[in-house]
Amino acid sequence: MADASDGRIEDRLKQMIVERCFLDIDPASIEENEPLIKRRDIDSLKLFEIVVGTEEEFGISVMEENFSVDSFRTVKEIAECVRRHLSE
Amino acid sequence: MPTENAFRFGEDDSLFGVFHAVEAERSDCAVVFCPPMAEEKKSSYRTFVETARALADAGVSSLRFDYFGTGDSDGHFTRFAPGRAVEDIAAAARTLRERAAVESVILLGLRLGGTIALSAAGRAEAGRVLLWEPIVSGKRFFDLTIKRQMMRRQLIGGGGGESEEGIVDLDGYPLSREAADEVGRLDAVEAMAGFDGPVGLLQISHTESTSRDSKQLIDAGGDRLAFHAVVCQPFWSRIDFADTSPVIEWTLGALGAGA
Repeated sequence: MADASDGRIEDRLKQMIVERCFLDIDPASIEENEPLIKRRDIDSLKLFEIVVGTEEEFGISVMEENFSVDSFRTVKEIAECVRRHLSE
Repeated sequence: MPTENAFRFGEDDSLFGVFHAVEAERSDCAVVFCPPMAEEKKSSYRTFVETARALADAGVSSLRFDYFGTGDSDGHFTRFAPGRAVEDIAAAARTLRERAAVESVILLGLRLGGTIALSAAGRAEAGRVLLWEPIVSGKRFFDLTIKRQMMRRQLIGGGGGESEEGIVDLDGYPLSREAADEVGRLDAVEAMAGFDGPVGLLQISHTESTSRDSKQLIDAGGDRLAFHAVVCQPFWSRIDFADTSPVIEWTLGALGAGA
């Protein structure tokens, strides 16, 4: 697990998404506001990989009682979720 | 030429299996495939078939089978339980030893099937265990499966989650409460300590970096554990096609059956 301050959160998320979902694209090509599910053909199983990957990458636990997939629709939203958990 | 024969075995012929026979054994061992559970079993079915056929081409017989309460074997899914699956693996090993006329039987398990195979290794008198990305903690597996189910319901709806008394809804599969508790208690590190034979561990993930789970098993296995990592899609949780050739190639190599 990398240190939470190691690199920009959005860039680390893009890299993680490309690796975990085996996307054959440049991580930088993912726009921070693009809807991942529609644009990158992310199904529920791959989205789960992204959530688990986010937890492992940043050492946080996001899958709690009030978890909502709405906070994982874009890189920007995931980054906000990460920052929220890191600041707790 | 290799042949494939479906048959029934075990107590009251309650278990269904497919024996992948070779014309002339070129190996002193044969392989029992120990499948994972529920959705993961469905998604990994083809890879098990392809691996069994590749082994047969290399002169190694094998047996694919369904645990009691799953697949073509007898019993409703509510009667599936890890403890019973251990007995089923032991029965499969006995059957394969007779059919293939080999001394040594190797257990090959994927995910929860790996964890159960490790638990069954002593009872099955296995010569070796090969683990494909095994579940290290049954509790964590159970928790993650429930969370994945919750996430899917948020995305696509359906499945109210209401279960009959004594039944746990595990991603759409009705698991008895007792079996769910058993799954929660499964611990691959503990099971490793109960088997003193050689173990091959294949990490299957998006990276060749050793995962936390793999490290735990490497520490527990010590010198008798051989570790390898391949970059490959988690085919057991994919709906679409995944190229699993790196997994099959490693398996052939681990059994000395490679090209």
